[in-house]
Amino acid sequence: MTIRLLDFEKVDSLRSLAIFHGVAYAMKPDDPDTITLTRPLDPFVSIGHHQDARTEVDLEFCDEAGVPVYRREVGGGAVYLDEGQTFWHTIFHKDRVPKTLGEVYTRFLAGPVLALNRIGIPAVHRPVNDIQVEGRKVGGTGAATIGHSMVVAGSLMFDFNYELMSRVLRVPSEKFRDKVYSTMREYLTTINRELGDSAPERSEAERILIECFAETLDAEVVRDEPRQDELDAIEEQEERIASEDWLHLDGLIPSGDSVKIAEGVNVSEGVHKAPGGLVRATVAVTDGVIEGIVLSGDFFVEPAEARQALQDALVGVEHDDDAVLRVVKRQLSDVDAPGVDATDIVAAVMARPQSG
Amino acid sequence: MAEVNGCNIPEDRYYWAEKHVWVSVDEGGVATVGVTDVAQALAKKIISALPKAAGRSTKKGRSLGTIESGKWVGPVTSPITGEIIETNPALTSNPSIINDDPYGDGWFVRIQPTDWEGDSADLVTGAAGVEAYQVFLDAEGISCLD
Repeated sequence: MTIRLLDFEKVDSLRSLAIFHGVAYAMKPDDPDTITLTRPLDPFVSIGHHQDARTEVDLEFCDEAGVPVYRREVGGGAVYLDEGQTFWHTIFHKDRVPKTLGEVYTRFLAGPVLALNRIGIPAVHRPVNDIQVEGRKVGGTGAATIGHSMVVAGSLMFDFNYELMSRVLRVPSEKFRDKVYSTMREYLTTINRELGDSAPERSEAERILIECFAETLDAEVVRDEPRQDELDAIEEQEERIASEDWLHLDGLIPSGDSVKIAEGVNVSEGVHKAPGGLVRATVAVTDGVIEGIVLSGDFFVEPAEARQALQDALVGVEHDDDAVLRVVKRQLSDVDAPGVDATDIVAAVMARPQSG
Repeated sequence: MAEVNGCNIPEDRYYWAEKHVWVSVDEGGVATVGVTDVAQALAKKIISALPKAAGRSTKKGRSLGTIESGKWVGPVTSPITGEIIETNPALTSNPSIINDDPYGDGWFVRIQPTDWEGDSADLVTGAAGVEAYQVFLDAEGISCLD
């Protein structure tokens, strides 16, 4: 089997997105399966196919900072991307990929995982679609059916700008932003963070990635140039992706105040109006357990230290109504909190992030 | 109701098996379209659904909108040509209704067909339709039990 490699190298951010959409849309049943590589020259924000741009991203900040925002035809959340990543896309005819998503990811993530191993990072594929090293995610992945193709998207993440990533999101509060930032620092890593000075040259890592795709897909990967119909399709996609109509698709609904950091790691914010005031809970949940929590709002507790004690007591507790209620009741037993009872706290803490 | 490889395939719908979509027509000639139990089982939990707006025309084979499962995004392919006259409002707040009830409350759009006779001739239905769907699932090695 032969797979075509289209290495577009450095391209502007709009083109980096348009390339995989264009190659996918141009694919006809008899066209060869293809892997594309691109490196964006300039930073941008990529939002998931079904995300509402206005509620997910601070568009004013992005506009002032000169960071364009583009919608992609792959799902998931908003992400700040820049020259610190090399994007890879496997664009295979949908009749030539496994039928279940689990198998699709297993097949196409094997190459990137092997490549990370080969450069010295003990990465593993954590189903369904995370690539992790010692519990931390290294690069995001996604899949979409586009035209006749099944596209699997991912990146070699050399660097990641955690500050700007947390800055470009529209968040309900600065506490939430801080929590997103600290949770990302903890659960997302990069090649350079893992390897420091021993990280390979970018081009060398890309060469290894292609070698590993060839090995794991049991195919010869042959460098090629894009066809004219693909270049035309890429230009068409550039125009579409840059359009306001595509960025602001009708009919989308906000996903709620929740950011998924990695598989099983979410930061969410719940607000509950109790008779004694507003209870706001910013909660980081890892594999169903509360990993960090900040309780704020305008409700009153006496003694004041009880709020911190309650937060401390909730860390490590299952993010489950009964478990949270038990801890909150115990903590509030000697506390004066007028107009706020345990069920009010639980309502804010248990505001559920979207699954997925 | 018929069960094939663990997938529910009711006999009273018309299917385009390769696209995993179903369609049925009411007495007034209006078609209701949705994805099959097979599609929802393959996609896993649907977290977002975005049908194209009512008033848009569609052609057989074109996308009627997209569904997202958290791990995948893909189109819902129209089995017929016509005009989209209604989208399922329940999908906005509860997209996983597609998983729970793909042939009922989880319908995707309603279409006023322009050539139901012609378009439906290419689709499969009844006991023969279920059998044809089974042949396709077996050939592809697809099961809803995975």
